[in-house]
Amino acid sequence: MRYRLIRQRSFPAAMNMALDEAIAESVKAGRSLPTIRFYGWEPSAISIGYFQSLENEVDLEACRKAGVEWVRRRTGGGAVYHDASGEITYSIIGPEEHFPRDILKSYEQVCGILIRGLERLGMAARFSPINDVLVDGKKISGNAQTRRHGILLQHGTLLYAVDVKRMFALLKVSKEKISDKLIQSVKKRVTSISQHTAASKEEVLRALEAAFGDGRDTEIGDYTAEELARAGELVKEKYATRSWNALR
Amino acid sequence: MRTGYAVRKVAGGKMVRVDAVFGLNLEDLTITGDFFLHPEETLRALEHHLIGTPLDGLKNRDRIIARELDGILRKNNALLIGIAPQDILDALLEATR
Repeated sequence: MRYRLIRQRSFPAAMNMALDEAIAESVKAGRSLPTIRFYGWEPSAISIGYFQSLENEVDLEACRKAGVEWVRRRTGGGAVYHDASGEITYSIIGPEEHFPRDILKSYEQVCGILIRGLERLGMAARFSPINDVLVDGKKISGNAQTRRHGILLQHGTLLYAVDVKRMFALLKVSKEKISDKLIQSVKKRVTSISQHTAASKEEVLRALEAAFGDGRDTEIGDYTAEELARAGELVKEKYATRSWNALR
Repeated sequence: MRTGYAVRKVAGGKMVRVDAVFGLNLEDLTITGDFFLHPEETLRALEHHLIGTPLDGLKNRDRIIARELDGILRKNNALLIGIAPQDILDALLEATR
């Protein structure tokens, strides 16, 4: 099965999530190839998991002041700060039958692609169930998956350069917890690509593209006009609405 | 009517928070957290099952109710990842203490 590979392009938070859904619809309808897309977040944003409470997880006032957006994902998992320059995000969207039926095994399979991409850059990474990739025992990638109407969507992040202090300023951790001690402990548990290699973001993206292309017939493509239009609708009807983002 | 919440972090797993509104019975609750549930809509069914539960003696019935939640997951062919129904009950017990 051929895959379309869409190269890195940045969008606002709601559009990023809407594009994932619009592509899943197009793949389901047979109008688009299964797709691997790389994307950034412009401006920086926080995404929260489908089951999380916006109010409990995100300091909305701090986000407004910092010009940081927020959006609810349609996948579970935790809140993620997507820095406009410090992070790489990917999605893989394809028929469920392309992946192991067992959800945990499918996380492992897709995370294995990220691991091989990092290996191309000389980094030794490993999968850490349920949904993380570690380097030197520290988290470098978090991933989340949903399966709807026979289509699997897994998206995830790879930290390129991490700013723990900024992340804590935007996520709603109790003020007592935002101590230097906690920030130090997060720094000990989280790492980023730039701490392990001098590779530029472009080089990292090429390594990841090559890893996703290994054993998969891929062609470089772009969003279709139909997908962009549908995503625009989904932004207005869903991902930019308070009813969606404050669902819980 | 009282309100309360409790958070459970599962070792090696995910986090679940239960926000409860209660009197003698559980009047309302919201389950949130960073866990995974496929299909996602099943969470509503779990919440609906718990609403109305008499709270008197809940501690003695929590395992039975957790098994009922397991039954709802099976009926919906659903998979809860990172937490277990018992973690939801543990958080509910603490939230309504």
